[in-house]
Amino acid sequence: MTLLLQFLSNTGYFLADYRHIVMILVGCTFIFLSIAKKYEPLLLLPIGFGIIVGNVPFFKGFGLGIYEPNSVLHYLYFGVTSGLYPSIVFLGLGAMTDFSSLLATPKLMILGAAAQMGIYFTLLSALALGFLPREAGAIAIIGGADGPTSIFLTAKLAPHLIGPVAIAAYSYMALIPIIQPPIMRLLTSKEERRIRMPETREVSRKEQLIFPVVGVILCCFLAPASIPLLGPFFFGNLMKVSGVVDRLAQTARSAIIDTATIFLGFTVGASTQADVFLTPKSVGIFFLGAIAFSIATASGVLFAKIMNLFLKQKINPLLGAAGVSAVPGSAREVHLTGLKADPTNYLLMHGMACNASGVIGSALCAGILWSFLL
Amino acid sequence: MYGFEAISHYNGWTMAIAGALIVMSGLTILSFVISQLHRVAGLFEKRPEEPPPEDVPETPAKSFGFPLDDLQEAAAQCSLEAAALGEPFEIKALFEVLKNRGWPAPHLTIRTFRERGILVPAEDGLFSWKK
Repeated sequence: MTLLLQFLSNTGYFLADYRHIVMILVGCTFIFLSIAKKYEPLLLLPIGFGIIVGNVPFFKGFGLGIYEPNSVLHYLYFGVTSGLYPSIVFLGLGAMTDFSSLLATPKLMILGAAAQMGIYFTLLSALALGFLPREAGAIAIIGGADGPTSIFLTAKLAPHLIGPVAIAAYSYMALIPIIQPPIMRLLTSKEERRIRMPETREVSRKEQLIFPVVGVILCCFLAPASIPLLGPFFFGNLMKVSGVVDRLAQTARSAIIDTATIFLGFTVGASTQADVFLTPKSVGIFFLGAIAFSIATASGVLFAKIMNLFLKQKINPLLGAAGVSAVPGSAREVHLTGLKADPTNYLLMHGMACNASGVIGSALCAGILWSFLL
Repeated sequence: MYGFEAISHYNGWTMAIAGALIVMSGLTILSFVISQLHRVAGLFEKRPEEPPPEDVPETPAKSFGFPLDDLQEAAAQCSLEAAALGEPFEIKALFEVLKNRGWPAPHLTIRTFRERGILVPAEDGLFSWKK
């Protein structure tokens, strides 16, 4: 009888409190959104299930939890805390990304930089709200709208915030269709949304081959701390465009990135244990994350409008919103918003160019912030 | 510590301004460099050998730039070059003909013809020239 009572007292049913229930409901919501609404399913599904697994109550000391040394989850989580998974994801992203539209319209790259202003605005806001500098840097990177970059920088600056920062970043990325369109419509007139972009020129293979080499040299010399992200990113792209290592490129953009995404999502979800996640700081991070995302979108759009004051060939200011690096969600929203103003105006390829630039910009910002806050 | 005091204390202003300037200048330089890449790539291009006279491809009677200056003349030239397609024809087939003949921006040309009513829809998703 004693043995039975002891067993029962160690079960999750006995140990659970309201916080576990709240987090499990959050996990279920993520799974619902990924399956029913198809919001970023590749990310929300593993994260959602990870949240459920991470919030099963257990007796501490059994070596089960993600924060307990020598547990299986702890080993898997090492890929997050060391920055390994984000680097691998960037390798795959590079092997997937087609830079030809960006190479054909280089001025769109500046929009990828403009949309990073949300990061620095959020840095100031987080400091003003009482977060420590390294925490503020980790929160600010949410404005880059890049999940792996957010996780990478948070792992380096404020590992105790990985859960809330990652969940905030991916949540807002999934909510792009809700967050971005109102801001885009608010800041642009219908006439501006109708601006047509010129057809992009054909980009030669030599340009595509030179770009990753030049890109990694210029960016990583400027901010060496971005090497773990931009190094694999440009390497993946070189494998893709070289055409001589198709097998490697194919593996990088399929099996390798998929494996990293699975473990990244699952372990980040599992790291949101109720006792470390449900804190006032998490609320502050979600609040600042929303501001970061909105400011990033707005700054991209406004900068495009400023550029139009000086350009002979105007650019559609909606493209500024695609300067956040949420690939391809924000480019898709830009395209759809443009189509609503003019059903024959196709902005997707130009949006993808801004997206690609945003990926480089946010990784660069992560390197810069890491250098500042070392 | 909160508010502006915290921002100043932790060098927030400096970090934000310097960070923004660095990323902006970095991507602007990269943008400038990639805008010149086609020139660099051109240096490595092999100059094409002068083709023998009999290999010179047939060229259109007049070349057109985009936007089209003289729409009617462009349409007449275009319909001549696509005469082999017969009528009605698929837009895709017309696009291929224009692309092979070296027309600049063939899909914009076709779109302009459609918008100006020079290309009119026929049955089954096919198109024909306005008579």
